[in-house]
Amino acid sequence: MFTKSLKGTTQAPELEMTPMIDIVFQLLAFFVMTFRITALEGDFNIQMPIQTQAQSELEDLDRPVVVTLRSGANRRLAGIKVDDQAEFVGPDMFQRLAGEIQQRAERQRDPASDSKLIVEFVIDYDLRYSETISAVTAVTGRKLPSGETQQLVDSIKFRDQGARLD
Amino acid sequence: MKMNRRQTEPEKVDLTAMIDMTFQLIAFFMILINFSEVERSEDIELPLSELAKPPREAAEHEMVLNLLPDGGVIYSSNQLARGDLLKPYFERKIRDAKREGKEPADIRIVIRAHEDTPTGKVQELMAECEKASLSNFALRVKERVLGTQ
Repeated sequence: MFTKSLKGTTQAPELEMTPMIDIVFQLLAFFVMTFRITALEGDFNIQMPIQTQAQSELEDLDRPVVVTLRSGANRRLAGIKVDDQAEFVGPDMFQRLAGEIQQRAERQRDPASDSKLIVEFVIDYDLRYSETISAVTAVTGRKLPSGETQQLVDSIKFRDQGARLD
Repeated sequence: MKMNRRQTEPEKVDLTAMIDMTFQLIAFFMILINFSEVERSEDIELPLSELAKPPREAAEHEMVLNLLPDGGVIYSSNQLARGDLLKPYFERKIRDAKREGKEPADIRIVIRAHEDTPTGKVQELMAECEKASLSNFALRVKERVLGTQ
């Protein structure tokens, strides 16, 4: 739209920019102040079936690998037992646990079999949650150099309630 | 004295570039703003894991439970002393899900537990959920950036 000046010449109307700039800067200030840089969060899926099949009823291949986490001083992890056989202690216990689970996953990678590798955790009540997550991470898989994750187990379960293990 | 008319006119500033830039900044912050922050409690220091991956798709029905080291639970800004006090919230969530034709097992329970929490307390909270027929759990962790402890 054009307006006519007193002299009769046409002039482009002047847009009032000030309120728009005001509101835009207020929006910008709001977003800058509420912006928070947070680390990426992810999930581990855990199954807690309400009704579990008795261990004795399961086929050998479908029987879960039972990983027992024992708490020690300062509620840190003292030892990891796999199926009441191998017990890992020391600073490299997570690597050894991952190695053991990987071996079992390879043994079970028979294309003719549709069995699934299930890991069931039995955890000391007092054990720090961060230690439990480290063990869950070790059995879940490993990060390949390409950045992708190689999944080792099909399912992770927690045995019902945490008990104080001796 | 003869004055030059051009010298008396106020100088016009070209605002286009500044407005362009400002709108781009607003768009950037709007895209990054995370409304799910309301479900996160700042009291919770999550354990770290290098395998942490954000879920590919958001669950239709989800409850985010923040678990403190003493067993207290923060749900939707409500601080509860124990997990068993969550029962009415579970019932309401299950009712909402059923209205949409979903089962309790379709409700995803996201547990954001503090790294110092005894694992037994996490399992007690899971047991409370199980009493309400909720059995779909996700343990939330923070991504460990390679090279950090």
